[in-house]
Amino acid sequence: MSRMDLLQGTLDLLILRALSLEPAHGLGVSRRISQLTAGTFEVKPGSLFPALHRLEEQGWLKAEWGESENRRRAKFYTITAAGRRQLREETQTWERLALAMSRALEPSS
Amino acid sequence: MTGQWLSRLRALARNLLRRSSVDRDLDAELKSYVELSADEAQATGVAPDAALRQARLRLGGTAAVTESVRSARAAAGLERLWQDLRYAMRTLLRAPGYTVGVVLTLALSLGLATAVFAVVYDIRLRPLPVGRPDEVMALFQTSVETNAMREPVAGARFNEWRRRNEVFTGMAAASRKSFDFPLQGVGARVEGELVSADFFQVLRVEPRLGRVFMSGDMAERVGTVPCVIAESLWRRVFEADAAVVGRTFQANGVSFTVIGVVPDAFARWRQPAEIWAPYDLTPTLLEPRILASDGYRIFRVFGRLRPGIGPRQADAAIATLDPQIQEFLHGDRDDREGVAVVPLKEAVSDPAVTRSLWLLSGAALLVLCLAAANIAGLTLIRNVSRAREFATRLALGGSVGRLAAQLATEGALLLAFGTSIGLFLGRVALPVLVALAPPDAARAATIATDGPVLLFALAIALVTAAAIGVTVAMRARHASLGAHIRPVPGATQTPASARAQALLVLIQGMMAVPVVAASALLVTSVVRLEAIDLGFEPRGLHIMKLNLPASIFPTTESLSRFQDELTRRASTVPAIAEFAITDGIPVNFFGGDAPIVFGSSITIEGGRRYLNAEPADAPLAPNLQRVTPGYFRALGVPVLRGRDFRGSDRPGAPLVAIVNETMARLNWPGGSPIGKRVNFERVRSGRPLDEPWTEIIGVVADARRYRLDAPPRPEIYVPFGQKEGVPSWFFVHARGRAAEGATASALRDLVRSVDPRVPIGDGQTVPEMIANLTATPRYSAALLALFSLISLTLAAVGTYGLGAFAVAQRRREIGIRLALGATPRDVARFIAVRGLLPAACGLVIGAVLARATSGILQGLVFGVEPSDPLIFAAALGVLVTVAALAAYLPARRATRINPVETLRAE
Repeated sequence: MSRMDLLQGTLDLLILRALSLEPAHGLGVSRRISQLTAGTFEVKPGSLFPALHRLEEQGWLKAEWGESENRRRAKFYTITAAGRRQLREETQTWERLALAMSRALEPSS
Repeated sequence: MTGQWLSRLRALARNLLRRSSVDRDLDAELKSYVELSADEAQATGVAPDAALRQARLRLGGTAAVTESVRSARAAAGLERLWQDLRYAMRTLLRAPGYTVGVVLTLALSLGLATAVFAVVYDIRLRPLPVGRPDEVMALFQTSVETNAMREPVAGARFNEWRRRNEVFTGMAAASRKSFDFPLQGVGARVEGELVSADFFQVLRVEPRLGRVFMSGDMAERVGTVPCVIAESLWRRVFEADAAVVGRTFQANGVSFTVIGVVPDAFARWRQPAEIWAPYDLTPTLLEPRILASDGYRIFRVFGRLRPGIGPRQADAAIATLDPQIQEFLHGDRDDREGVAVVPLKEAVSDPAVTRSLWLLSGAALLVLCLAAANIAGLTLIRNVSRAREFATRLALGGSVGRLAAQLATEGALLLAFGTSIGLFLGRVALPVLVALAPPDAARAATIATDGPVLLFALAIALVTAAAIGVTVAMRARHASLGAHIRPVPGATQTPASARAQALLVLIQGMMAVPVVAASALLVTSVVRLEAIDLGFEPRGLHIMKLNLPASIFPTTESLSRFQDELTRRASTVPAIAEFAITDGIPVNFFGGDAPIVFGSSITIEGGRRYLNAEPADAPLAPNLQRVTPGYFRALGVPVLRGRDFRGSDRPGAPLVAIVNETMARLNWPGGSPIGKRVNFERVRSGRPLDEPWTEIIGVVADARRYRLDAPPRPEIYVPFGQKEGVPSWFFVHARGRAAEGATASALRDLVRSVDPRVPIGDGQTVPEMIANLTATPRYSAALLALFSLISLTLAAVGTYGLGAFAVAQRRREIGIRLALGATPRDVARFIAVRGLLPAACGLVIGAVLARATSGILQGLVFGVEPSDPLIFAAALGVLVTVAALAAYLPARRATRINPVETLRAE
């Protein structure tokens, strides 16, 4: 799969979506995004962690230290109510965008 | 949305205040990521070591990730700023020479500029205390003989202007008058003005208390005259009584009623007047015949422009009217007469003072440019030295943006320090500037470093910063990495960079020339002024003014008695060696540059006649003074021909007079005036002269007592008592045997012993009064000399810096040259020329420009032409010497370079 550069907003959206299902730690978020996008996007830590911290500072995620499955200490991120709202709004925007693009790129018949 | 901002704020606080714990937290998180990642890999069967390694690779470098997270953090910008500041401080402290140099340069030039601006603003730019000052014009009469000097206006002229003009909505006139108030039995004098009825209306002055004159006041005759007083008088004499309106007092034999109080600012502007009364209602204080005459120029006239009329239109309109008025009043026109109609702003300050102020401002600006060029040059030089540091940082992954930000921070720090010290210096220098300034220039005591001045300082600082920043940035674009990292100690400066530095030195040279040349001109003027032969001996001479209220001396006899008694007793006072009295202004007693002309009515037998203060005669009409016999002796003026007055020249004896050289030359050219006769009667056409003729019995030397830079006036002296008239003041002269202070107090005691009721006015020593004549030029010269000193220093520093830097840069090259057989002198010349050439070019260009624009100094210099080649040559000489010295020092250092060392240091 080609590694496409993700725009910051797109990454935020993916992270929020990933965490809307269940809280996760950094690695977990990365894995989940990979799953959700069927392998299209592999988010590197260099992009992931800045994004996670930024979202947390903006109040859309909450961060807490906890225990992972293997009893390792890890920092877990949970989406907040504000985060869910943001996710809804961003999703709508994205869908509109995607619709418009696909219509524009339709081969003229 | 607010929730979002709150969250960010919390994060900001956390990031700033609990930085280390946040960092530790991040470290832990990343560590945990690596471990979890390794676990995953292990679960798929990878060995633990390999799994860990893979995980670490996947992380991609803890440092890089940590840095990315930090950059994205809420406090990132602030952290960066703080980091930059600390680093900048360290860097600056490591280069103390540069830092101190820049900060001092900035502080000095900014401080001076701010102080000068504060003074200029207050004198020229502060709004005047009248309503809509831009609409108000000041009107003057002028005459060709006095070089169109602006003179007050005569009453008849004012009335006609007011009646006939169509350009003003209203015109007002004011004439100075001294009011004698008896206060607690002691005579005191208050200055004031007698004004036209609508004076305050035309000027739109709002009273603090009560009201100003209204037309209704003029019609009433209630026995008291309405008057308006100033706040300061209200506080001083009426104890700030809130019920002052309606209070009455006596002054000059007239009963006045206070109807209003006007603000201090207005009183100060009227320089200083504290009482105003309408002249229509005070015939005893200002005779109607004087009001209606065209011969007594006593009024300051103002006019408020009609809407849509501009100053030039008004000037043209009055200039057209005036000759018609002349015909109406005198039957003919006189082309030598003129009118000056100027906006109020231009009229309130002495043009000479204003010119000096603009000169100072210009010089300050030049010094500022010099300083900016200097700083830019120093910065450029320093940046070239740091080129390697910059290149290394860039190579290690820093961005150009961050580098620029850091440089900008350094610059900002320097600017901040320089500006604050500069403002502090300005604040300190300001009172000194004001205190040293001549009385005309610094009238207002409210000059302060307030709002507009601070804004000015800030603006200058920003402009300087921008200029320097642009210069540095332009150089930075040419930075080439490879060249800088190469470990070659020499030749790390690009030719373009060297050119920029040379250009800056050239600019400095250019700026320095006008300042130094102007300074030289002014200093020469002062020297010439002070070298003028006064014609009398000022040292040891003390003059005191005595006011003679009519209430104390109602008749000529009472005055004579007082005078005789004074003279008699003075001869018994040991401290007084010579004593004399006159009723004319003895020297530049009132300060300022305006000579006070008392033209007299005089007919020369067989020659001209001069009518009293007729404008055409003004410069030639002799100044008439009554004196006591010891006058010329007291002043130290030699009697050239004939004799001095004697005790026998009394009322009843034959009328005698003494003239000065100028008058003798003007009226009896080629011959002696001794024995010739003059007549003081005011000539009426068609009637023969009734009064007896006065004989000239002596000629005295000319004495320059009013202006140093103008020829002496013709003067005629008569003994007291032989010419009728009751003077309103005496000037008593005493040449003391003892110290000055003793003479002054001896004089005061003498007067009090004869009559304690007499108000004793100011006393000064004559050397002080003469010094006032040169006060403004001396002040300007001193300030400009200070500026030149600074300019010279800055230019020298710039040239030296360039040379020193060239030596440092070219060490290797010089070493090679020396090794190849060049003599130390060759090397020295090589370096010196490099440093001197740009400076010399700058000096030449600056000299040409300065000479071409030297005309602006006209009027400020005396005894020299502004374009005097000798002065310019001298100024250039000084500059070239300084530049040569500044270029020579590094050159000498270059000769000390040991070629073996430099070559070995590869």
